[in-house]
Amino acid sequence: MRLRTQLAILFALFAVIPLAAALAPVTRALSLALDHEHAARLDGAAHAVEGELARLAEEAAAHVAELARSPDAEGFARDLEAGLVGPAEAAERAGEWMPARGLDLLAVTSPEGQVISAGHLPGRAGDVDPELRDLLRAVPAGRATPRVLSRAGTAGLQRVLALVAWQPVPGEPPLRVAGGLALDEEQARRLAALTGAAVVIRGPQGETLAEASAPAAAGQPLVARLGARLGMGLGGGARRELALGPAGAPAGTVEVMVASAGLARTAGTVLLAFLGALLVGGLAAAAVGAVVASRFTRPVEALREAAAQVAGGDLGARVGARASGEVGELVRAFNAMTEDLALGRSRLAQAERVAAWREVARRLAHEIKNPLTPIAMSVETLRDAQAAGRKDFPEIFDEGTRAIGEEVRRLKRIVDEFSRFARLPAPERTPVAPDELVGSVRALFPAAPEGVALTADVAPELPPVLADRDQVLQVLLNLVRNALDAMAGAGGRLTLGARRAGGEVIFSVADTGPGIPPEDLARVFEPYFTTKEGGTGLGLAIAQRIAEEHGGRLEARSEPGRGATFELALPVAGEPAQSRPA
Amino acid sequence: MRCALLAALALALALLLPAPTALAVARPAYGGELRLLLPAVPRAVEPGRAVEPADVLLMRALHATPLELDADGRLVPGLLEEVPAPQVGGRAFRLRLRPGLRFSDGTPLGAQDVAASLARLLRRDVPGAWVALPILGADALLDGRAAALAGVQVLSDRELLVTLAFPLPEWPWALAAPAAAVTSPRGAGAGPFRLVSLDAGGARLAQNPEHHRGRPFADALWLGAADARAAARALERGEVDGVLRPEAASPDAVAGPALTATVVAQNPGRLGAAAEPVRRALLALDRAELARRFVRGPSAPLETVVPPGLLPAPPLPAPAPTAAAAPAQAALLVLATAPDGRAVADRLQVQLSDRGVRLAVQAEPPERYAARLAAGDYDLALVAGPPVALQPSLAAGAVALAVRGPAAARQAMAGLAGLDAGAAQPRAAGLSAALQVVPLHASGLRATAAPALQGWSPRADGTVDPGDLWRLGGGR
Repeated sequence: MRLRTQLAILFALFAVIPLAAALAPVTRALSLALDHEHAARLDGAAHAVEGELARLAEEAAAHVAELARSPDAEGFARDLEAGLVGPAEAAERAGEWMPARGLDLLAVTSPEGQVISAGHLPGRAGDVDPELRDLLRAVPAGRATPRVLSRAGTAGLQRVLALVAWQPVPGEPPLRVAGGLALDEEQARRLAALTGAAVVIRGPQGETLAEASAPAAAGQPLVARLGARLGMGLGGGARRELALGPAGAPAGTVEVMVASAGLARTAGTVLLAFLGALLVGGLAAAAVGAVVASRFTRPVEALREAAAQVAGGDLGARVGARASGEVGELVRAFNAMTEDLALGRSRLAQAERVAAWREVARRLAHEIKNPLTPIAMSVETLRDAQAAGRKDFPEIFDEGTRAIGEEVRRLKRIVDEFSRFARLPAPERTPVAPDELVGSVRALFPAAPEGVALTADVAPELPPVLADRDQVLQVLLNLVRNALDAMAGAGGRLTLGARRAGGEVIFSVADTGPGIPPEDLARVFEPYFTTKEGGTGLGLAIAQRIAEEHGGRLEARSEPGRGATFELALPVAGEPAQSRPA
Repeated sequence: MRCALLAALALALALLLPAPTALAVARPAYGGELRLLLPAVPRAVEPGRAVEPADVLLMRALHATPLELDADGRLVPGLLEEVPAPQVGGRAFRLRLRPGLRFSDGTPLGAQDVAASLARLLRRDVPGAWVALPILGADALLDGRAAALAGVQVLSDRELLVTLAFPLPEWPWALAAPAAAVTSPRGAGAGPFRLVSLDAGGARLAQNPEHHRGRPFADALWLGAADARAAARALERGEVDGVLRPEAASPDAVAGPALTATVVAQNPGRLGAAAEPVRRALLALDRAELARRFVRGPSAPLETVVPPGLLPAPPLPAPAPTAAAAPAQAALLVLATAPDGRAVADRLQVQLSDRGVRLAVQAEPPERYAARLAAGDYDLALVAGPPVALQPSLAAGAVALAVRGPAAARQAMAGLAGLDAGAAQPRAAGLSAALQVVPLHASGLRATAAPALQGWSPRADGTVDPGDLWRLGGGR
């Protein structure tokens, strides 16, 4: 991470950490206050539900009492007594009265609980309904009590918690009217709307019979959800349970949970404000940090970039940033150092050039000096013989001039090689058949030297190579001569080969001579390096240069005592030159 | 002097007669309007589609059938000159119409009209199609493979030959069923009355002087609807002359025969693994209690698909107790406009719940109910059979058509054709399983009449002929 970024982050942390540290105690205090408020609202809602349940119970008891004393019930009893109404017709009667009196459950039974007519469960007519029988036995007339009863529904019988009361019907036959109001989904929704609380109505075993969410629960805004999620507003899990019926064996319970959306919204707003302050403070601190840091780090970054340029070989790199103090001294020292380095490198190059010229001069002097001595001696000998009037002067003259001529040719060869190395012409490449090249080399050696066996190993159907025929022949001849020189006296086998390797044809010249010592093998292609008496050390250097200018390469490998092999790789005509295989 | 003597003798006789009713029974009076209350306002439907009691009564008023039932339940000629005798082993019947028959619109009624009326029954979802299903070529006409009934040959204006697809000697009884009524191509009937108006308040009819028995006693007829208590009050106040409902409108009500069979049709493909526990729970029902407590009209437990009034049968054996099955769930399709059906469905819901079957009740209006029933879109369906003829084979065919379609109806009729009660009982019992139905109950109607109304008694087939009605002292 860059220094400027680190400094910016550091600045941001300095701004954010104090705010974040303040968040926890503030939210805790807020949460406590809101919890207190929520608990008060929950108690209020539970109280309201309790009151509404009591009112419903009174309403149910009043409706049942009114029905029991009504002309409807009296007439029904009279018709039953007179046999004017059949069982099927009687079974429907409660179903007619029930909605008219706003009741959810209504049955007319015998004192023993045998159902004569039931609006909420008409199919029970004729049976003793154990639930109603227990009601008649256990609960005094006129008092509403919570009971779980079965009710017909479109999906089958359903259990419903209801506030039920019963009353006897005056006259004969003895009849009982039992009815009530169901605490069903509709009632749960009504209670929820009345109190603003979520309401769950449960049976005696805790099973959910009906439930309704708080009116504000739907579509809670983001801030309220955030507040609730972070545990503020909290009281989300707080509830009040109202047991219905006897304390030991309640017929059911009504759970009340006050919607905490408003409180959660407040808490969420506070939280969002804090988080916003954190975000803005952090960003502002980071921005200021970045600006301040840039003033400090600009020279350092310029130094880093300049150092990278120097490392890449650009010794002209300089740091232009202005700085003061230690950083300014560092910048000035760096610029001075790079100037010194550039000057040193220039001097070193000059010295190398001088050394190279000296080496060339030394080599030329050494090479030219050797032939000059025999020439001088031959001239002296001729002059002395002529002065002495020797009779054999013609013979001496002939021998002396021949020696001088030989040395002059030697001088010329030396000059030619130096000249060729300096000005090697560009190759004129044309497709040349490898077997033809090998054949041409072999033709130059119709008879191998004494003790040397010359063989050729050329793979069939080799493609033509793109080469300057004369230059390549020069390379191969140079390699063959070197091999023959290496085997001079001891004899051996010289193998001239050609084979295909990918997009190249490899020409090889292998001998079985003494080989090349490892320390010399690495230097055989250096100019002027030679192990031969009278050699210029330019032959293999020229050969390698020719190979490279053909897009090929020349390589040597050898093991001492086991001969040496030189391989010339040339690209096949019509194919692009390939890089050297690993 | 002689005149004065005769007048004095007449006065003395009049004073000596004990009561005017005795004279009225002997001398029906003509004229006036009769007002009748029914369970619902009748609909003007084709005879083959008349299923509800109100529709059937209107159909009886507007249309005439080839044969009729007399007061003793015997088959007597209606539009036909005589009751046809079976030919070719009960496979052919020669029908000969009375001479000079006319529809209420004055157009002549001929053999061609009888043939056309029979053919009109053979359309999809016509409950009364069972009347024509035994006729040769009925299936081809029903499937659209033929344009006419191959088994009906019009021999002359008044005579036609009907050939059945299988021997059914009792087929002439079908010609007395309401669905066998003859209608003109324009829908006119040949009954004792013709329709004047029909709206939500009721149907108003006027006498048809072209009726084959002559003009009816009443000049006009009004058919309205009221619930049981309102009908009883109207009768008590003298606002209506008669009530035909399941419930009695007064202690003097006359119960008609319980000939409407109600069964639960099962759809095993939909029920899956629940089919067997549901069937066992249904078979274990106390049908006698169900009929007594939840059916408002005269009723009887049904042991086979044939009402016990036509074919008495021993009570079905209760299924052997088995290990408690896993709780099952099913839905019962029921006609929303049938109060008895809703009451029975409520009872089934309770009783099956007591046996571990959770039963949902799906009450549908008539059109939707019929469509779902025809498409087999139900787990269980409460099906009440259409008006039937007084023969077990024909009654079984009507029920089979209602629950399983024409092919099952033909098989049911062929299976019971010509059998006496002893042989028909086991066949009818096996038919329940074949049709995958559980018989529940048979029901009928009660006729309650004002003291002055005469002829207001259901016949042997449970229907009333409005042409027979008259009021003591004539019309109001």
